[in-house]
Amino acid sequence: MKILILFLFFISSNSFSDSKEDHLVLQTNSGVIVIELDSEGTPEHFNQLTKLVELGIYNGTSFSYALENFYVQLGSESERKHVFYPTQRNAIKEMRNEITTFKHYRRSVTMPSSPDDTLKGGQFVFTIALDRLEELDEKQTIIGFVVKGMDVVDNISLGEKKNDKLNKPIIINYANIVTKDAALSIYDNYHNNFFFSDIALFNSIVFFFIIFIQISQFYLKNKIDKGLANAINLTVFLFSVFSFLVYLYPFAQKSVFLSLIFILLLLQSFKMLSTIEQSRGITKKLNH
Amino acid sequence: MDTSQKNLYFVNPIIDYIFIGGVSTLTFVLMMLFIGNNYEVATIMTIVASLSWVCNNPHFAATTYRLYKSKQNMMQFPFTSFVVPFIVIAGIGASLYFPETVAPFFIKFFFIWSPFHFSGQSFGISMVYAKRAGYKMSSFERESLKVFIYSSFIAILFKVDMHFAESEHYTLKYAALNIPDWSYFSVLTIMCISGLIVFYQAYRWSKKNKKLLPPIVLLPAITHIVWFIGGSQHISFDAFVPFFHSAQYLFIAWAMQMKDISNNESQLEKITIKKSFIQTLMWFSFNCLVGAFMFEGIPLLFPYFNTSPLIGFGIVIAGVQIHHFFVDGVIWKLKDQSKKSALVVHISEYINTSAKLPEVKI
Repeated sequence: MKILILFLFFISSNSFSDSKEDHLVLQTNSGVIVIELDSEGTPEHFNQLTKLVELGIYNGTSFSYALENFYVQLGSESERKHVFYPTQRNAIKEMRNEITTFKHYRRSVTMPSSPDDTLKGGQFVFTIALDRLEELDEKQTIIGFVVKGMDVVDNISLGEKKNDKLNKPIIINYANIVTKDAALSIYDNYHNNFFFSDIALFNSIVFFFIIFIQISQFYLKNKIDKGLANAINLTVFLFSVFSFLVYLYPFAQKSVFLSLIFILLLLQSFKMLSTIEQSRGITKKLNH
Repeated sequence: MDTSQKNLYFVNPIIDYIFIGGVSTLTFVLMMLFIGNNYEVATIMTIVASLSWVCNNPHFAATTYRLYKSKQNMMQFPFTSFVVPFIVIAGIGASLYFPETVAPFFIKFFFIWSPFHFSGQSFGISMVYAKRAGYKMSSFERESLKVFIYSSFIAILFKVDMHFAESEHYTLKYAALNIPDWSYFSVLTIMCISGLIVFYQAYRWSKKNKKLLPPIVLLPAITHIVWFIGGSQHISFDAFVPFFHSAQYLFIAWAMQMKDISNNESQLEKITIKKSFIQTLMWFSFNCLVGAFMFEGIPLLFPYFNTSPLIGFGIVIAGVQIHHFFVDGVIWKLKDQSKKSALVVHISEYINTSAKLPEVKI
C-alpha cells in the first residue's frame, strides 16, 4: 500500500512538475530556440516575461545584435517592422535585479535591468551568452538557460554584421511559454521536418466531417430539402478545397506558379461561396 | 427635385454623394495635400479605433441583424443563416488550436476576402445606381465594370505580397505569397484598360441619350480605385478605408431599414419624419451595441488554447468578419415580397418628406 501511495505521489509530483509552463519557445526564421525559465529564482522577471509573451511583444522582435563566441541580443522596438500597440508598450516596465547563484556561462539568458546598462533597449530585451561572461555575474539577472537550439543561436552570431549589428536580423515569428514536454515537442517537430503534423490532424478532421456528411445524407436523402442537400455537398467540397489550400499555403510562399494557382483557387472558392445558396430550391418555394 | 432625379437618389444628391464616395474622395485629396504619408500612426489609429465604435462595428451588426431579424429572411437563406456560423466557429477553433499552421492561413484568407468583399459592394452599388439611372448595361459593359473594380483589389493584393515577406495581424505573422513584380503591373494595365472601356461606354450612353450619365453611377467604382490604389500610396488614408466602406453600407442599410418599417407600418401610409428619426436613432443605437458585442464580447467566449490573448482576439475578430462576408453575400438578394425593393425606390415613397418636422420647444 505504501509503495502504491509513494508511486502515486511520484507520478503526481512528476506530472505536476512537467505541467508547469516555464519554457519559452522562440520560433525564428532560422529555427526553434527553447529557453528554460528560472521561475523560482527570478519570479518577478518570470511573471513579467510571461505577460510580455502573452501580449505578443516578442512576435516580430528580432535578434539584431551579435558577436561571435560572445553574445546574441534582441533588438529594441525601433528595430521592429511594426511598432508596438499602446497596450504592449505600456506593459514594458523597468525591473529590479533578481540575482541568483547562477553564473553567466554559455547558454545563460540575461535581462539587463538598469537603463544605464551597456546592453540597452528596454526591459523586454534579453541576451544569450555564447561564452563565459564573468563581468556580468551578480550584476544582471539570469532569467533562464537555452536547453534546445543552441546551434540556432550560434548560427545567428555568425551572420554578417557591422559594429555588432546584424545585417539581416533574425526575426522571432512566434514566441510562447509552454510546458517542457510541449516545448520539446515543438522543437522536435520543427527539426525533424514534421511541419505538417498539425495540418495532418486538421485534414483528418475534415476527412471525417466529409464522411459524416455523406453518411447523413445517404440516410436522410428523402427527408431533407434537395437544395439544402446540394448546398451541404458544395460545403463539403469547399471544405476539401480549403483543406487543400491550407496545405498549399506554405508552398505558395516559395513558388510563383503555386502562388498564382493559390489565388485563383481562393477566388474561385469565393465565387462559389457567394453562389452557394443559389443551388437550393427554398427561395423558389417561398416565392411561389 | 424632378422625378428622374428622385428615382436616381436614395435621399437626395448631396446626401447620396457624401456617403457613396464624396467624403472619402475629398478626405483622400486633403490628406494627400496636407498630411504626410505616414502621419503619426498612433493618432491615426486612435481616430480610426474611435470611429469603429460608431461606424465599422455597427455596419457588421446591421448586416447580421438584416438576415436574422425575421424567420422569413432566415428561411430564404437557411444555409447561410444556420450552417455558416458553425463553419466559421470551426475555422476559428482550428486557428486557435493550430496557431502556427491553420491560423496564418485563416488570417490570409480573411485578408484576401476582405478587399474582395469591398469590391463586391462597390460593384453592387454601381449597378444599383445604373438601374436607377435607367442605364441598362450590356453584359460586356457589366463585365468591364467588374474587371475595373476587381482588378484594383487584385492589384493591391499583389502589391502587398510583392513588398512584404510577412505581415502581422494582432502580432500573428502570416507569410506573403510569392508574387512576381510583373503580375502587379499586368493587373494595373488591365485595370486601366477596363477603366477606359467603362468611361467610353458611359460617354457613348451620354451621347446616345443626349444627356450626361449621372456621375453617381460611376462614383462607387471611382471611389473604390481611390480607396485601393490611392490608399496604397498613402498609409494614413488607407487606415480610414474600412470606415468609408462601412459608412457606405450603413447608408444603404438605413434606407432598406426605413423601407421595412414603412412596410410594417401599413401597406398604404408613409412613416412620418419624426418617426423615421426616432427609428433611425433606435436602429443606430441597437447596431452600435450589437457591434460592440461582436467585437468585444464574442472574443471572450472562445478558449484561446495555444495562442496568446492578443493573437486569439485577432483570430476571433477575423472570424466575425468572415461571417459578415458570408452574410453580406445574401442580404442583397433577400426578397421583399410585398413591395418594390428599397434598392430601387426613393425615400419619399415610404417616408413622408413633405411633412414639416415638429417644432422643438426648449
